[in-house]
Amino acid sequence: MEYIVLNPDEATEEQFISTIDANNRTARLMRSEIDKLRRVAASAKKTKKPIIEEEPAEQKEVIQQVDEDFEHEIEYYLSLIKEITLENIDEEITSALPSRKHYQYTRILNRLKLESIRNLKEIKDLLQEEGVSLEDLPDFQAEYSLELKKIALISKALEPKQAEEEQAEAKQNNLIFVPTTGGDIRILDEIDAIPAEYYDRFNGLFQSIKDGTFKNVQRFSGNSDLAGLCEVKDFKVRVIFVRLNHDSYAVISAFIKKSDNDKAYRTSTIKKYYDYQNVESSLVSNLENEEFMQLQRDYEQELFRKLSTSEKAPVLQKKGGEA
Amino acid sequence: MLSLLRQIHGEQSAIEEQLQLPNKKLEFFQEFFKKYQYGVMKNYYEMDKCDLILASLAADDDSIPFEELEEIINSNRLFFEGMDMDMYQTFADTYINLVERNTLNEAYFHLINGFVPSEEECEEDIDKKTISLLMQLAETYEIPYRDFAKILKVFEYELALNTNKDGFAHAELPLMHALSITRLLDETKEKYLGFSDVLIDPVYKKHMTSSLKQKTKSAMQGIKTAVEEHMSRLKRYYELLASEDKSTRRRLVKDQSQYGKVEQDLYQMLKFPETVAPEKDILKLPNASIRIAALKQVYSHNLAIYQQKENEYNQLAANDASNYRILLANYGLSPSDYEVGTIMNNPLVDVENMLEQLQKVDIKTPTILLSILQTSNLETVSNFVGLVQKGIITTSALIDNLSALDPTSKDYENMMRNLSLVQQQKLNPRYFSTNLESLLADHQLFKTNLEILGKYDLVSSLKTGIDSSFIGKENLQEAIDTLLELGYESNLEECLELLNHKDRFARLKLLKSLNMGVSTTEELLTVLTTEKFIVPDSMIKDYLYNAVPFYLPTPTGSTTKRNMDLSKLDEFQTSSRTYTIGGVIISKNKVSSNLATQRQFARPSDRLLHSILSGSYLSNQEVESVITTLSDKKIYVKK
Repeated sequence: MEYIVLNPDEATEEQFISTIDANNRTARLMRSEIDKLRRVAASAKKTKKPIIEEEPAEQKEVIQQVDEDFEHEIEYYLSLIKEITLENIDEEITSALPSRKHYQYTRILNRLKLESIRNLKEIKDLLQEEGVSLEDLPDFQAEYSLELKKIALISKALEPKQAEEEQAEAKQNNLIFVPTTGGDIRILDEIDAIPAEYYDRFNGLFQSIKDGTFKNVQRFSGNSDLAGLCEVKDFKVRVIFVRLNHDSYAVISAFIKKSDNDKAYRTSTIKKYYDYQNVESSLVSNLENEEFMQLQRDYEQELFRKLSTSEKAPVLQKKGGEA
Repeated sequence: MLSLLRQIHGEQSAIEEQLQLPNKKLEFFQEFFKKYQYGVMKNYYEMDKCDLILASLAADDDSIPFEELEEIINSNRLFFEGMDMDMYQTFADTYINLVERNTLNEAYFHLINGFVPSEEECEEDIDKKTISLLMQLAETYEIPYRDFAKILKVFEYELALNTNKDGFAHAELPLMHALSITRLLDETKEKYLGFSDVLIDPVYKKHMTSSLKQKTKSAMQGIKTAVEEHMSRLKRYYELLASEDKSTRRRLVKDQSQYGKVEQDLYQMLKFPETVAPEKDILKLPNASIRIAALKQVYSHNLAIYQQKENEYNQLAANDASNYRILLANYGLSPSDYEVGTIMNNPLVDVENMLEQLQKVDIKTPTILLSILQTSNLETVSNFVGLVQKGIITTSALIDNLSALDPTSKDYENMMRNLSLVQQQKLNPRYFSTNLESLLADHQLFKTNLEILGKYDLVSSLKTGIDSSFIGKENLQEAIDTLLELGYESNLEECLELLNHKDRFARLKLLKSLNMGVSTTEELLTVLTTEKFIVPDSMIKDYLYNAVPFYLPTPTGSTTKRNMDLSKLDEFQTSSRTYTIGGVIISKNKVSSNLATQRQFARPSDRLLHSILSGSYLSNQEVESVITTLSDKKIYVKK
C-alpha cells in the first residue's frame, strides 16, 4: 500500500484527479488495516504488567543461629561452677574451667565470666527494684562477692601464659572405668564390639576427657533419669561419663548413636547409669587408693591400646574459630 | 490557498453580476410576443414596423449586440419606418458600391465627423458624390450623420449574412424579409379586409364573385402562411432564446453553488487539517485554472494526512505480536502470550533497543530479560545501562534488584532521587553503589542520613567500594553515637562499614563489660560478623547492665526548645566529635540533640546531665565518675 506522489506544479488536472482517487482507495485499505492492528494492540495492552515479587534480600544481620553445641558446653561448665563456693573457689575453679587447649577456651571463659556478670546484674536490678542496698541483704552480699571472685579468677585464667606455664598447668584427668554387674569393664567390652573405623573418634573423645577439653560436652539436666550424666560426642560417637572430682571422671559407656530412636538410647543409657550409681560411692571412695588408681591406669592403657593410640597421641581438635 | 479563495470569490462575484444583468434581447422578445400574440393574425396588423425589423435582425445573428441594434433602430426610427423595398435596394446598392469602390471607411469618416463633401469635390470624385448623397438622405430624414452611419452598419451586418451563410438566398435577409412581411401585412390590411378576420366591408363582400372570393382567399392564405412562417421563426428563436437564458441562468446558479461548496471545502481544510478533503465538488467547477488550483490543494492536504496514516500503519504493523516474537526469538526468548502482551506495552523498536543495551552489560539470561522487558521501558533501561557503563553500579547488583527497573516502582523513584542528591552534593556515586540497597533506600531517610554524616564530619570517610547500606537504615545517629562512646571513633573514621552492623553493637557493649578491648578495625569487624560470639545475640540483653537510667534526672514539665550554652563543656572536648568526662567518652552531637528535645527540669544542670547521660551505656562507676567530674567543675550540683 503506497501513496502516489506527484509534482504538484507540473501535474495536469487529469493526473490530479486520478492520483487523488488512487490515494483515497489506498487510504481506505490502510484505514481498515490500521483498525485491525489497533484491535490486536488494544487486546495486548489490556494485559497488565506483572509485579516483580523479589524475595526479600538476605538480611545482613541474620538472626544468629544458636550454637547449640557451644551452649551445651557452657551448660556443662556452668554446672561445675555452680557447685563452687567462696570457700573452695580457689581450688575448684581451675578444674571447673576447660583446658587451655580447648579451641574455644577464650570464648568459653568469657561466656562464663558473662554469666557471673549477669548474675551481678540480676542482683543489682533486684536491689534497685526493692530500693535497698547490698548491705541490707547479706545473702545477696555473699553471692555478690562470690560472683566477683569468679569474675576475677576467670579473668586471671584468661591472661596469656608462657608456654612453660601452660605446659605445667596442662590437665591430666583420670579415667575411672565403671564395671558391669558381672565385674567386667563395660567400656572395654563396648569398644570390642565397635567397628575399628570409629576408633579414631573414640580415641579423641577419651583424650578430651583426659586433657580437659571435653569435646562437645553436654550435661544431661532437668528432671530426667539421666540428670547428672555428661557426654562428649563426635558426630555419632558418644562417651558417657560422670565427674567424680576435680580430676577424675567415671567413664560409663561408649557407643555409636546410629538412629534417632531416643527411647532406645535413653533406656540403654538409664540402665547403665543405674549400674554406675550402684558402684558410685565405691568408686569415689577408692579415688585415694593408689592400687585402685593404678588399676584404672591399666584399664586406660588397655583402652588406648585397643583404640590403637598411645596416651601421648595428638588429640583430635574440632575445627572452628574462637570468638 | 488565499489566492485560490480570492479567485473563487471573484468567480462568484462575476456570476452574481451576470445573474443580475437583464437579458435585453429576451425581454424584448417577451414584450414582442406579449404585444403581438403569436398565432393571432389580427395582432400582426398592429405590429410596429421597427419592432418587426429589430426582431428579425436580432433573431438571425449576434454579430451586433442586441443593445446596439436596438439603439440603431430606435435612433433611426423615422428612417426605418419609412423604409420600403425600393429604398432598401437603393441603400443596399449604395453600400455595395461603397464596398466595391473601397470607400466605405471614407463614408464612415464623413458621416461620423459630419464632413460634407463640397460641390467641387462631388464633381471631381464620384465617391464623394455618393457620400454626399448619403448625407443628404440623412438630412432628409432628419437623422444625425453619426446615427445615420450606424444604418450602414446594419447593412454591413445584413449583407455579411449573405456571404456567411451557405445557401442563404438574398431574399431571406432579415431586414429585407421584415420589410417584405410588413408590405404583405400592409397590403392585406388595405386590400383584403373583406377576407380577413379583422374588417369586413359588407358591400364589397356582397358583390364579389365566388371565384374571386376563392382567389382572394387563396392569396390571403398564402400571405397568412408567409407571415406565420416568419413569425414562427421569430417565435422559435424566442423560445430558443428563453430556453438558453433559462439554462444559462440555471448553469450560473449551479456554478455559483459549486463555487460555494468548494469554498466551504477549502475552509474546512483550513479548520480541520486532519480531515480528508473531498474533490468531487471541484470537478464541477467551470473554471479550469481554479479546478487545477483547488485539486492541487486537496491533493497536498490529503497526502499529508495519508502520510501520517502511513506512519501509524507502519508503526502498528511493526508492533504486531508476531514481530515481537521474531525479535525475542533472536535473543533466545520464548515468551508466553501473556508475556508478549505485556512486552507490547513498549513499541517494537524500543524493545529491540532495550535488548541491545542489556546485552552490552551482559544481561542475557532469558528469564531476567523477559522480566525486564515486561516491567521496564527504554528510557529506564538506558539510564541503568548508562550507570553500569560508568561503573556506578554493577550488572550483578542490577540483576539482584530488578524492581528498580520498573519506572513506576518506589525503588526506581528513590534511586533516581538519591542519585540526584548525590550529584547535588558533589559526591562520588560510587560511594553508594557497591550495594545497590543504598541507592534504593527511601529518599528522605537517605537524605537525612547524609546530613547526619555531615554533622559528624564523616562524609570524608565515604569511599568507593565500601558497602554503604547503612545510609538507608534507621537510627544512624544512635549507631554513630554508640561507636563513639565505646571508644571506636578512629575505627569509625577508618571504616564506615562498621555502621552496617549496628544491630550487633550490643556485642561491643558486652565486650566492654568484660573489659575486653578490640583495637583494630579488622578485629571489630570479626566481632561483629562472627556467628560464634560469646552469647547468642538474642540473649545479649540479659547480660547487659546499663546504670544510666538509674541516674537520669526526672523531667518536670513540658517541652522547651531553649538552647543551652555548651561552652562549659569545651574543656572536656577530646575530639571534634567527643567529650571525655571523668574518663567517660560522650558524643557531642548526642548532647546537642538531647538538649534540642529536652523536657523541662527542676534545675538547668539536671537538664545538662540528662543530655550527657541519656542514650549512653555506662556502668555505675562510669556514671559516678561523670557526675563527680561535673560537680567538681561546678557544672552539676549533686543532690
